Amino acid sequence: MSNVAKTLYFVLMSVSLGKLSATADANAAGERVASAEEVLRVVRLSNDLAYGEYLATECIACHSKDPGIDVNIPMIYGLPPEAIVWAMLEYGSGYRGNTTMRNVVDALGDEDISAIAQYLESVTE
Amino acid sequence: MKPISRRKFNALAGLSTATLFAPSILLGQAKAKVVVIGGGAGGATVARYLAKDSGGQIEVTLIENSKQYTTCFFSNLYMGDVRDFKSITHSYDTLAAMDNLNVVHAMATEIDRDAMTVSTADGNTFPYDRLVVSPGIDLIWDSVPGYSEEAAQIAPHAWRGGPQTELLKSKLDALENGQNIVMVAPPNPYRCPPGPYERVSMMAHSLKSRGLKDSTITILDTKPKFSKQGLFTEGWEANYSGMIEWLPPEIHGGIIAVDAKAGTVETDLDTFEGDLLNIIPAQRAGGIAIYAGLTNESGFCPIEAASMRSSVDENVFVIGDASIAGAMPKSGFSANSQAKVAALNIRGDLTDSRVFPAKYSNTCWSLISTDNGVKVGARYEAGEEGKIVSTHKFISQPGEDADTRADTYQESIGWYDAMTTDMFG
Repeated sequence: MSNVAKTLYFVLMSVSLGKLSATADANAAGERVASAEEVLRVVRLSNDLAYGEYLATECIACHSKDPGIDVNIPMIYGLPPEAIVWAMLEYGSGYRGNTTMRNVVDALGDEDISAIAQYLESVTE
Repeated sequence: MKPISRRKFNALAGLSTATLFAPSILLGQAKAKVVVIGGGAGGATVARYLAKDSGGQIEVTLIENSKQYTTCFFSNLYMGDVRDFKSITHSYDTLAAMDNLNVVHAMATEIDRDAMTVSTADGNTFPYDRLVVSPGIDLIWDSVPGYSEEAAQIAPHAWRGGPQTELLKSKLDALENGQNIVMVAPPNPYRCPPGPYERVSMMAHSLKSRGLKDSTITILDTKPKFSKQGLFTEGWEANYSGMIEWLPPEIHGGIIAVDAKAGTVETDLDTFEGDLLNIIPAQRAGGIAIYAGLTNESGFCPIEAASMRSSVDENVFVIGDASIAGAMPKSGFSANSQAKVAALNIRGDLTDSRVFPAKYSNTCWSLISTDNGVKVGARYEAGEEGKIVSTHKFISQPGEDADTRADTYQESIGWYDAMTTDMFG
């Protein structure tokens, strides 16, 4: 995928993931959309797939690789790491409201988020 | 080869090198053997993760007596006619078809921790390099005076998934208008802290849906407060006003006797009559953990917070409801989370794979009424004093709007599908 296509896909996926967030509550004080610079900074922090795979064992408890219809838990596998990092930073800032995901992100550092995102991109099946 | 910790070095120092497990494994001369006792949320998950992530270096034997597994989680939704029984019952076929995973349907009867073997009732013996004990709970029948395994055929506990679940449902469905339910709720610690109260919600939902407007549910609790109490109390008032009464020990004064045949529960306050009695007694680790000497005076198994390794035997891991997991509640989600930490550490013991700091998580969803879901959850780590401690937590709020509650319920459905796939493949 070219860089331009990848960036476009990343933006579209972010919008899509945002819509799927259960109780998004935008624009409250102190909450914000993650900036592209911040997303890219975090994406580059780690490429430790083994660590990411371990951390992502928590993701799979809820995020099925084969989600049924009408289920509001998004598909997260095989996505560009930018999309995952963007969404997770927005849960961390409170811009996205789902309390389960906010709690997940609150306990993760930026390197953890990066490792998870890199691993999730590598999941193809 | 990863360095051997001081603790492990000390434990091994007295042995001759010929008896060390590691060399043959690390030289690839034999596959390491892991035996898993119990095929629930803990055992099925750890067996599956070890088989799929060990690059063929570990051979796993999963010993589970039942050929099908009915999840306790979501069994209350079956009570409420929201799910059918088939949808909460799962087979081991996919696990049994995995490479390096042998599913044995037999009753594990003995652990010989010196010989490092597990025996089954059908006379087989399985050697292990590492053992995972995930037997779930046993019920302490006489914790409720008058209650027994025999009485449970009349007054079901339904606190283990399967025939008891169906028995309770059939008795619920047989109730007529004006007939009442009495529940005895268990003392801490027990499997699924919000479970009794979600069950009451779903039984009330079933009664109300069938027009049994004069039937009531009385909860005789053995503890002064319970999980998500504010959320349940609010939901009961809004949806089942006048149907549900919760009585803590300071009101009923204590359970004196249950008579299942007569349908009565005698307390200091009064004798309560129920056309359906649901008696949930106190609990302890599954019997095999007790016989193997893995429990302490609490009836549950102490573990090392960083790994789920037994505090009394470093070749044994205990996960799920049988373990003393500090701040983590006894739940399917917790067991699944603990299984992943145990699998990581077992792979670290037996292969050269990396071991990362333990991170645990849990979320418990409960359904109060149609599309009215609530949740409580937390993340956990190994604390400084050797216990699993909560680091971040959250809970649904009273007064949430209907969309939020519907989203929470939908989230629980997605979780159930993902969780059971994570367990059974």
